[in-house]
Amino acid sequence: MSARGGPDPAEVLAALRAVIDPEIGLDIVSLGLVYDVRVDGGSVTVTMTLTAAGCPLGAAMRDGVTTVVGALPGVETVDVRIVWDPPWSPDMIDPAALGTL
Amino acid sequence: MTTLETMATGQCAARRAVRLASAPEAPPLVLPAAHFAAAFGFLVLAGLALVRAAPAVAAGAFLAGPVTAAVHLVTLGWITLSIMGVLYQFLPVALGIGIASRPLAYATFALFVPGLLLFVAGAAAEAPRPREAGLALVAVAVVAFLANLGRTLARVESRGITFWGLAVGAANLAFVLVLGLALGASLSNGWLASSRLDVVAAHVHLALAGWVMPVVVGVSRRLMPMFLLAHDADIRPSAAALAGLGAGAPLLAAGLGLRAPWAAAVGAGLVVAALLAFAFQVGLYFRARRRPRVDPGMRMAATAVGGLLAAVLLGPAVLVLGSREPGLATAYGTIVLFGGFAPLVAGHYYRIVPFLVWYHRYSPLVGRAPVPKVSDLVTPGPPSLALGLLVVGVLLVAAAPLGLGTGAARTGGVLFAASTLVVAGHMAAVAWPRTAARGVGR
Repeated sequence: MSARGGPDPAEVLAALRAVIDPEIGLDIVSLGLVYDVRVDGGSVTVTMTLTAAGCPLGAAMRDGVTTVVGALPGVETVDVRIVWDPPWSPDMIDPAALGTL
Repeated sequence: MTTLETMATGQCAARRAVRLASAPEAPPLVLPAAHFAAAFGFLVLAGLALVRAAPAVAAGAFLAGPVTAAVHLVTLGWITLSIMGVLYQFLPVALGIGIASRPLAYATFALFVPGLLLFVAGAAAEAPRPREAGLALVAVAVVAFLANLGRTLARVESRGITFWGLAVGAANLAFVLVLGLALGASLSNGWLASSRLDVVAAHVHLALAGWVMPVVVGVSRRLMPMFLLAHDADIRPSAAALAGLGAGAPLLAAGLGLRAPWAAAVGAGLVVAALLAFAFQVGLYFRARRRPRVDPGMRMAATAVGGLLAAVLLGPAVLVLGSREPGLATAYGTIVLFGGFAPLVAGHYYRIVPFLVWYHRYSPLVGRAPVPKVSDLVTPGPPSLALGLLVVGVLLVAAAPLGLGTGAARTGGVLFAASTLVVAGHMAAVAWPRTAARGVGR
């Protein structure tokens, strides 16, 4: 819990590991899809991308992120921003996770 | 960074996300799913039709009605219907826009499926009326599909390999249809006379090298790197393959249809070079992959590319000997169609169907409950069995007109049919598991 009552960004990242990309089989943090997490009191902003533009999983991912972050103590609002710049590539996968594929 | 979409909060966010899932550019799941289900039905029918066509296949009578039925069940019912379904699902990912008109896509499907059933039933029974009525319905459906795809492609701004693969394929499909209508009319009134065989050769080669292959090259440019995590692969072989097919397929078809041997030879050379370039491209994707484990679907697709390469070896002999060796031409067609294109499409289904099932069943649970991976939905045994049955079956059918006879054709046909049943049954089991919760938890 941060000094202003919201969660710590590390707690948010830990929670985001519950959201997986089912096609690749890794969580979105290990995949490198999460670009930024900002916490301002009870407001959390997650900036992330998807493995491909037009990915049909986009809505499910956003929904999952909103759900897991929204369930953290002290979180009042969750803002999920999907960005395409920089584009995702397999180079962004956590090398340790790459070995599990 | 460019922010494209921003979400709301709490429960409202969940409701908002559900609305976004049905936004205009999102894939309409019912539409591709209907195509895939029907395509599997046609694949199984193709297997049964191949068994029925065994005596004609063994005799090298590739113009016989039962052979025509089996071939069109694969080319139109399995391959073309699958391509249509995949495109409806895949266009937003590949080109950034959805199909121009969904109602027209549904109408196309509604015309295509009964039309093809009528056509193949008429062809198999050599009954002109259902054959002609079915052909008319299929023709209207293909024109509607081409109009819809053309309107969609016209809106695309970024025109890469995928765009050109679809554009070249669509242009050639229009000519395939014209040739098909000419052949259909000739069956009824004989107007093509002795040219019929030449037009059949043009029709078949333009369909496979001009319509199917460019689409395969274009679509695989996006799908294979995604499936294999091979984003770093050099894609110049795909561009070369597309250029070879774009120039070679029409030239080959024109040379065959108009009895211009030099044009046919140059066109065939370009098509063969294109196939080799594509095989090289597939090799590059596999070499660059970050995902070491190759799933059963990709194994099947890779085997299919091997089948196409085997056909390439027979191609020059077929071109030179032509109609003088109908057995060789039949063996060639069997390997190309049943050992190459049919499993190439089937391999991709091992990724597509589990993904759609996962999306339908588990995507609402993301973040709320443990969910399986897409690969958890597929057991590796059935695809390996299907691939083994298919390879042996196709080899037997192909060897039948070269001397092994009707028994081999029938046995091979039964094995191929069994293979289609294994694939279709497996996909049905993935779509409707005995317990919906199977595989949950990772």
